[in-house]
Amino acid sequence: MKFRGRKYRISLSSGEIIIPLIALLFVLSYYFEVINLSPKTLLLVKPTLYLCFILSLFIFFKDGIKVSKIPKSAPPTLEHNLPGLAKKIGILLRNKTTRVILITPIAFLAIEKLGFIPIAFLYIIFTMYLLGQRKVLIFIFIPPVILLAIYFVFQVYLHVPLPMGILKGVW
Amino acid sequence: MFGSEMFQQWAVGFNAILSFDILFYILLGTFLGIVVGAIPGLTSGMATAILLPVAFFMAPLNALVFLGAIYVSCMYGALLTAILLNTPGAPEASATTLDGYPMTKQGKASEALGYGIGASATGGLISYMVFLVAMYPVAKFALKFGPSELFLVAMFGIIVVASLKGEAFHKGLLAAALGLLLGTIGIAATGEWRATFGNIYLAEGVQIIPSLIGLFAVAELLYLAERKFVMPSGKGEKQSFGRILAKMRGIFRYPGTIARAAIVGITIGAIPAAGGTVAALVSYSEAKRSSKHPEKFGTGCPEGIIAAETANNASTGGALMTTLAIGIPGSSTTAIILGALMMHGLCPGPRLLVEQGEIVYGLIMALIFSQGLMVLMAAFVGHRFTGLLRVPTHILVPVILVFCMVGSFVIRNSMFVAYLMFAFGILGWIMRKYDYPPIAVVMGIVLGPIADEMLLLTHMRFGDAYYLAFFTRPISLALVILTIIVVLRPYLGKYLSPLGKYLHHKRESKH
Repeated sequence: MKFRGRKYRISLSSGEIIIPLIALLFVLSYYFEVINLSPKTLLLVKPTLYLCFILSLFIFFKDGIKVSKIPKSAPPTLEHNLPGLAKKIGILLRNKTTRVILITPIAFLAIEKLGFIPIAFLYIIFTMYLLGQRKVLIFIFIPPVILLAIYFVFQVYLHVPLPMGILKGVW
Repeated sequence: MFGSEMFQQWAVGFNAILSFDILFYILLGTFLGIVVGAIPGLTSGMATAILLPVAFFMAPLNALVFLGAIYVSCMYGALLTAILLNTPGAPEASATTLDGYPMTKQGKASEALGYGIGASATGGLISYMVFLVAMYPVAKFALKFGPSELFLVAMFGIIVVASLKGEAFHKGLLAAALGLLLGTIGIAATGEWRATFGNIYLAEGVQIIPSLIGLFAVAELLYLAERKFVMPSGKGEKQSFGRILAKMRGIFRYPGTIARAAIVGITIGAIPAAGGTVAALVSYSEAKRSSKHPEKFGTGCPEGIIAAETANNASTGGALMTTLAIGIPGSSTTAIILGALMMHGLCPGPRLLVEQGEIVYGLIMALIFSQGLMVLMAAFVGHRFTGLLRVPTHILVPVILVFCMVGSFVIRNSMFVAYLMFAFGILGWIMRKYDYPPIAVVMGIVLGPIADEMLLLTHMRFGDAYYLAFFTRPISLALVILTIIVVLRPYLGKYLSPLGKYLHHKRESKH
């Protein structure tokens, strides 16, 4: 994202500001959550909060914001970079990692309602497809083998119950 | 008294591993470690993080032996691809490629494997012998530490890890501070609920397992998802077991190189977060410097392989010693092993040896035993695992992600932990992308509660002027000075390097 004045151009490095922004949000919410606690409880927390706050701001301004001089030949108009942003979002959505990031929380939600085995089965197939797998044999062979292994290790060997959802009591 | 007590502990440890369960977990851990180690991109940290939930349901010694065997055998797996494919299976084997792959190109792959496997086993064995003997005195010394020293040790561990990024120290420090804050969530030692945001699941603090699985395994998988294969291709070569065996014995023609590499490996391994990669690189350059034929290094010289492999395996013993005796992880994988100890209710540090000597010495004995097993596995079948490089990521990623999901769920039987794990995964992925060290967050989460409790105890003992204790007690003062050196090192390095270059130049010109 870029903001442009008459002589200088300020550009935000969207990647470099993510972690400082997350840290700032976390620090502020942490601070307001613990503000009323006794000083003994905050012996270590307080200085850490201040350190985190200062470092986040420092990195935000040091690595996240770039100020550069506009060459005299360039027209002094304001630049709207929205088409570029839309393009970036498009690229992001086509990215395989973004697809995995989007699909996984949906799978978590479904696991709570419908149980682990059926959702994990669908999740493996769907994610493999999204990542580029097209061989039907792989879809037929891999998910059942993996889920059988998980079922055996956790439910049978370690006696740890898996989330059953609506299938509770079926097996 | 000192000796007899120690021998008694050794006997107890040896006795503890004489069970079918332990032998099974050593075998399984070794096998998994070699497989994971042979696949570049899959690290020992990732493997131990994914298998942590399984270890959660095992007896403490079984869990430690299982995770420990994975940790040390990953080094073996890594050397196979480093030598055969010029692709280190793990960063620790980077130095091995320098001479290993040239030997493969000369048609001496079996010889290179023999040197590598033999040196790895020797480095590992020397390091565990030192671990066995030194553990007791180190822990006894660490028993002298009071709360102020333990607080400073924890802070030292966190800051060392943060400083690994060199000139991007501020990024490492931010990651460590974030980890420290995450580690202090939950019911404080004073009994107050701290930063739980009204969530009952956070009352016990941020669980170590989901954070480890997220930051190490899920983050790595999200990164791998962007690639088609773990590695573009791998070409198989036939190896001869006879030649591998002959060269394994051949390493003893280089006793000086082995001894030097073992010392370098153990020492660097014991420094928090320095790890096997640094050990192998330092040992390689040291071997080259002291060799009669330094010009042969990099062209397929056995000494290069021996120096690198002895050191990276020897570093595991040093790293485990620091982890168990002082409670400061020597590497990312030992941080996970530390997490495993804590999740079994064991407190790492000097008291562990006093209260749970059986577990500590049982682990060392198991690791010594696993070295023999690894040699057999690596020499007989290990090199066949290089075919795993051809597994496409679109199969690998969903399958391992499902393991991560179920692994994080079963810890508390709650989906909240699974969500937490995934959030850590995304955080780790972004951190990796923008050059923040996720290990610093992990160190903060693991050591945060210890540091918090120790600081409170220091306050209770010394009153409001508690910070004076950091400067008036000798061990504390030494730790403060060490920490300051670590903090200033990246910045001072800029000014000191011209001096180093000048001294080196002077020494060279004298010769």
